[in-house]
Amino acid sequence: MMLPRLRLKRAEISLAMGQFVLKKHHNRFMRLLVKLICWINRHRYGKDALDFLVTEKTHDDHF
Amino acid sequence: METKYVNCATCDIACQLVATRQHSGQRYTLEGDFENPLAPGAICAKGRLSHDIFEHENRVTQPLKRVGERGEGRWQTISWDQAMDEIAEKLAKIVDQYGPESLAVSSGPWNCSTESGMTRRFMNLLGSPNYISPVALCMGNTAAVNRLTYGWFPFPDFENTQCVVLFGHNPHNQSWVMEYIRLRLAEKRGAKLIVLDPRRSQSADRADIYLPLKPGTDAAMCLGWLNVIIEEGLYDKAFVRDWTVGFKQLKDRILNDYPLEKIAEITGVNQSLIREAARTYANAKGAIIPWTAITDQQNSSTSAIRLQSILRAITGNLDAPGGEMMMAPDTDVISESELELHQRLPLSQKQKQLGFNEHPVFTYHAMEKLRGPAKRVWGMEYPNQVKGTCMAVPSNVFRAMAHGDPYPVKAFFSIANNTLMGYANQRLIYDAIMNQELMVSFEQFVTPTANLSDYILPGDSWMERPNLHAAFEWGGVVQTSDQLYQPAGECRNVYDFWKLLAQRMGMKEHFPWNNITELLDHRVANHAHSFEDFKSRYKIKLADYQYHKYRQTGFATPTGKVELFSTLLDDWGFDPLPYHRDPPATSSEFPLQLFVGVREPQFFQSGQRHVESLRKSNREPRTFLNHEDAQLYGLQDGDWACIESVNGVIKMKVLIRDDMPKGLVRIPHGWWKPENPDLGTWDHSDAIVVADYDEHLDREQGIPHLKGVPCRVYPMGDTNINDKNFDSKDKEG
Repeated sequence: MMLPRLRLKRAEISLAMGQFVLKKHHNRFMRLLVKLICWINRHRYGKDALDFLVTEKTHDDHF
Repeated sequence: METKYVNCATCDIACQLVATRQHSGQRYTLEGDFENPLAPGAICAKGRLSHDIFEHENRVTQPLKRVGERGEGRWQTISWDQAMDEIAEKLAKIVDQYGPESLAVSSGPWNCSTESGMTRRFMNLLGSPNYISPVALCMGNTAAVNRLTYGWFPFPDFENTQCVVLFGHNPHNQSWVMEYIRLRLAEKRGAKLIVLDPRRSQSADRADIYLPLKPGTDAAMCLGWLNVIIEEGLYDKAFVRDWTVGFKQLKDRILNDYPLEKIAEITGVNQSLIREAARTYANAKGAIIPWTAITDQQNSSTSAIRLQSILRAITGNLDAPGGEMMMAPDTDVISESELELHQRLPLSQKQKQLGFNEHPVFTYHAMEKLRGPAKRVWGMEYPNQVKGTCMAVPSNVFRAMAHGDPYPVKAFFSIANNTLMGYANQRLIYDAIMNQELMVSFEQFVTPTANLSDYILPGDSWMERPNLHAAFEWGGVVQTSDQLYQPAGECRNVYDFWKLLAQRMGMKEHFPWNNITELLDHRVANHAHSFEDFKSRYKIKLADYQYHKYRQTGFATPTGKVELFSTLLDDWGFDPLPYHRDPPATSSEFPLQLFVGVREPQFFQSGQRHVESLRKSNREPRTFLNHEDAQLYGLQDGDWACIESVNGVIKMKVLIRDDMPKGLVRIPHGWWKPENPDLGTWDHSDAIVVADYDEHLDREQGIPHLKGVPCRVYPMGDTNINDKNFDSKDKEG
C-alpha cells in the first residue's frame, strides 16, 4: 500500500514544481532557483540528457 | 538582448520557443526553451525556419477577388471593406434562400486559425451546425470516442510512466518533438517501450517489444491484449467492480469471439508476442497509450479507440500517476468552448447537422447526450475538446454541397485549411466546392483550395499576433505567445474576419472586442488585469490537477462510470461493444495496400511546399516500397510510379526501403506543387486515392480508412493521370 502512495506523492510534487518553474519570475533569486531546478531535472539523465536531439537523425530525413 | 516567449503554430504540437535579438529592427532568432521542464529544447526545422515560411514572396498580403473562372488563378486586389461588404451581402442572400445551415465551414485549428472559438461563435449565432475540420480524422475523433467511454480525453503522464505503447506512432526530432523528448526521457528513466507498426520504424528499432501487425488491424490487436489481460486476471479488479459497466458483456465478447489464435491470424503477429506485450502493459506500475492518428483513420476506428480507452481503464491507468490524466481546462482562463456559445444554437438546428443520425459519434448528437454528465463532472456543458466533439461529418457535408442531399449547402468558408486535400475523395470535394454560390478562403498562400475561391482574405502568422493556447482543452495547460512582428501587408487576424462579417450581419454586439488583444484580455480577466499582465506572469500555466478525481465526481458518462458497454452506441443502434472489422479487401485488380501518413520531417500536412530551404531535401513526393514489390512491378529507385486505387490515381517517385513490409505502399499526405501552373492539384494528393464508400468508412464516425487501401502500382510511362481522374466514372459509386 505504501508504494502507490509514494508514487502518488512524487507525481504531485513534480507537478507542483512544474507549476513553479513555468512561471515567469521577476525576482533574481527565484530565477536562479528555476535555472537550478531545470539543470537538476536535465542532469538526472546524465551529462548530456538531450543528446538524441543532435546525434540521431530521423530515418525519414534521407531522401 | 531582447527576449520573448512564443508558441510555434507552424504545426499542431505548439512548442514553446524563445525568440531573441540584439537590436530592434532585426529578425528574432528562434530556439527551443531549455527551461521548459516538460520538453526542454523542443524545436524542429520548420520552427527554426519560420521566417522562410512566412516571409516568402508567395504570401498573400492583400484581399483577392476572383476575376476569371474558378481555378483559373486570375485575381484582382481589393480592400478589406469591399471584400467583407460583398461576402456579407452574398452570404445573407444564401441564408435567406436556403437557411443558415446552408453555410459550411472547414477550419484547421492551428496556423492562422488559432481563433479563440470565434468560428463556432459566428456559426452558432447565425444558426449553422455544419462545421468540419481535419481533426475529424486526427485527434478530434479520438477525443469524442474517449468521451463516449469515460467522459473525457486524458493526457499521457510521460513524466511518471513505466511503459509507453505506440500504435504506429513515430515521434522523432523533426515531428512531434515535444512528445519525442518526453518519450526519450521516459525511456532513459527505464520505461518499457512497446511499438506496433507494419513498418519497422525508428521507434520500433528502439522498442523492447515490437509487434509488426498488418495495417488496419489495431482494434483486433487490442482485443487480443484484452483477451490475455482478462483471461490471466491482470486487470484492476476493484476498479472494474466499482467504476465500470458492462465488464461481463465485454468478457463474453472477447473470450468467445476473439480467441488469441484468431487474433494472431488477423494481425499476423504470433500469439506469444501478443501475450508478452499485453502482460508488460498490464503489469507496469503506470502505463500510457499516447494518442496516435493511426487509429483515427481506419474503418474500425471507433472500436480501436474505445479499446485503447478500455485498456487504460481496466488496468487502473486512468487518472493514475504514470497513466493518463483527466485534466480539466484551467478555470482561470475563459475556454474556447465557452466562447463558442453552443447553447445559443437551437436543438432544431443541431439536429440538422450533416451526419447527425448516420454517424453520430463526434456530432452534436453525442454532445447533447453528454451535456448533463459533462456539467456534473467538469462544470461545463459543451467541452469541445480538440475542437472535435460536435462537428458535422465531412463526407456528408461534401455530398450536400455537391448534390443538395439532404439539403443544399451553398456557401463554404475554408479557414486556414487546404480542404481539397484534407479529407477523402478529392474529386467529390472538388465538385462540392465548384457547386458553391459563395466560396471564401482565409489563408496565407494560394493553396489548391484557395485557388477555387471567390475571395481570399490574407491571414496573419503566429509570429505576427499574440496568442493564448490552451492545449486544445485536452490538458490543463495554457501557453502564452508574444507578438514578434507587425502583420505583413494587409494580413489580419482571423478574429477580425469574423468580427467584420458579424458587424455586417447584425451580430455586432457578440463581437465587442476591438482586436485580438482585447479578446485575450477578456479571456484572462478572471485571473489578471490584462493579457499583458497574464503574460508577464506565465509563459506556461499548469492548472491544478488532482489524480483520481473521479472518486469524488464519477465519470462524465450517462451511467457515471466507465462504459465498457456503451449506452449511447446502444441507443443509436450500433454495436455497444468493440469489435474488429476487416479492412477493405485486396483483389487481383488491387493486390497491394496503401498506407497514408508518412510524417515527413520537412512539412506539416499540406503546408510549406513553397519553402526552398525545406524542399531542397525533399523535392518530390516519394512513396516507400519494399524491394520485392518494386521488382515485381518493374520499378526501380527514383522511378516515377502510378499508384491507383478504386478512387483515382496519383504519381510519386519510388523510394525502395528495407523497413517496408511486402505488400504495403506508404505514401505521404498533402502533396502539391506551388511552382506548377496548375499547382499540381491532381498529381500527387493522397485525397485522390482515398475513397469514402461505405466499406471504407468507420460506421459510427463516418471517417475514411487510410491505413490499408487496396491499390496497385506500375511504372508511370506515358499514363495521363488527369484523364483517369476525370473520366466519366461516377465517383459516388
